[in-house]
Amino acid sequence: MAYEYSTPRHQIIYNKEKCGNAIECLKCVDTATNKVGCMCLGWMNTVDPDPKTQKKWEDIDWKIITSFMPDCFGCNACVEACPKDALALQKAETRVPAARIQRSDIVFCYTLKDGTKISTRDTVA
Amino acid sequence: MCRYCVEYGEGTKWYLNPKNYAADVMTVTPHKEAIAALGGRGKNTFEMNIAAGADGAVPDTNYPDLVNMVLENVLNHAGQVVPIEDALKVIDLTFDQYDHPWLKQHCTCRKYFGQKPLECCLYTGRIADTSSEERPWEHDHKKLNREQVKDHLRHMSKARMVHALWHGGVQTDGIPVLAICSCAYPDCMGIRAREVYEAMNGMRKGEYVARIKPNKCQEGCGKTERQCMPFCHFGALRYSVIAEHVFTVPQRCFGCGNCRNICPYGAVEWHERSYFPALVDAW
Repeated sequence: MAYEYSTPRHQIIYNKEKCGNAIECLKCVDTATNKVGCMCLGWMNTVDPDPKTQKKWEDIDWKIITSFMPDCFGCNACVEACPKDALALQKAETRVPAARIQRSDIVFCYTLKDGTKISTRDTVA
Repeated sequence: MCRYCVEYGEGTKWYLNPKNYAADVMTVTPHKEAIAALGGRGKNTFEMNIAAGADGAVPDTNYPDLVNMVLENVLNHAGQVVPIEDALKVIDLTFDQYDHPWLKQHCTCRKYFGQKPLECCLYTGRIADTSSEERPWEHDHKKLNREQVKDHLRHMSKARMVHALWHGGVQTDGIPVLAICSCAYPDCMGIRAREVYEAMNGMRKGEYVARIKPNKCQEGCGKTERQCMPFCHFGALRYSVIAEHVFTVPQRCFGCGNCRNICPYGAVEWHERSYFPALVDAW
């Protein structure tokens, strides 16, 4: 039996329209990095800037990026820091740890509470 | 000796081989594309795109192999940790080959994750040529001559930063060093990727490992302040409450030299990585 598994993690949903040009504020990034210490959020340009028309940081359009969300524990500080309501926390479903088969030469027979049998060998019932 | 050294070192470490610093090496793919990216308007995109995609690229943090498989397809730009003396040798090699200033500017990771944007990234002269024109919104560019660059690196080393060389990919004629950074855990994306996500593609371990001599450590500050311990960015220094001295964990040592540089008691031995034969494939 194969488990389709990916590490569950909280997500931050970013609304660019509400935010505008992120460089004007950056309170969420500052909160995440310098107050909470999680470093889940960063910022970057939306497109490559044009040196002919854009001469200052503020001339460029910036967005928030969510980069290291496995480190998020859902404290909501970044959401609360945003003055424009541009962030929303989408909590992950926590789940029971997967049964992991560490060695393929040893038959591990696990029977879960719901009767599901986990085995490395097809021939074992 | 790493694979790069075997292929590109010609008897020495790859980054100490003068042939890798030849001007014509810089003009071929992928080096010229990396130089154009780092010296161009798209530099931020080139570097931050990796972080922007990181959350999607980390499917199952419990299986680092999956992370590495994804990164293999994304990253060509990679780097290697060096101790301060090798970083200084690299500077001499570049100035001897082409007398061209280095460009000092802000660290991408630290600026765009909100840390103090320390001006600590060094880019080779060829990148310095176009950067200021292509990125006029960046006002922190500074061109440095040989002595200024070396002073900067020594200063960063005293602040217990980790030095790493960066290149833009590997190609048969050589691997030129394009950048030298001086950064720290957890700010540095390179260190973070290795230490937090066990992602191997990116920052490689250096050519040396440290070893602590138990009796010297105990005669020193091993039972008291243990001065070295906060300065290992890689978790390679551990203290034993039973043995009462600091241990190095050779499998985790990146050969950055911080512990050796700070120990006032001479308790840290410094070796080529081959001193521990089992580390031959540990990069």
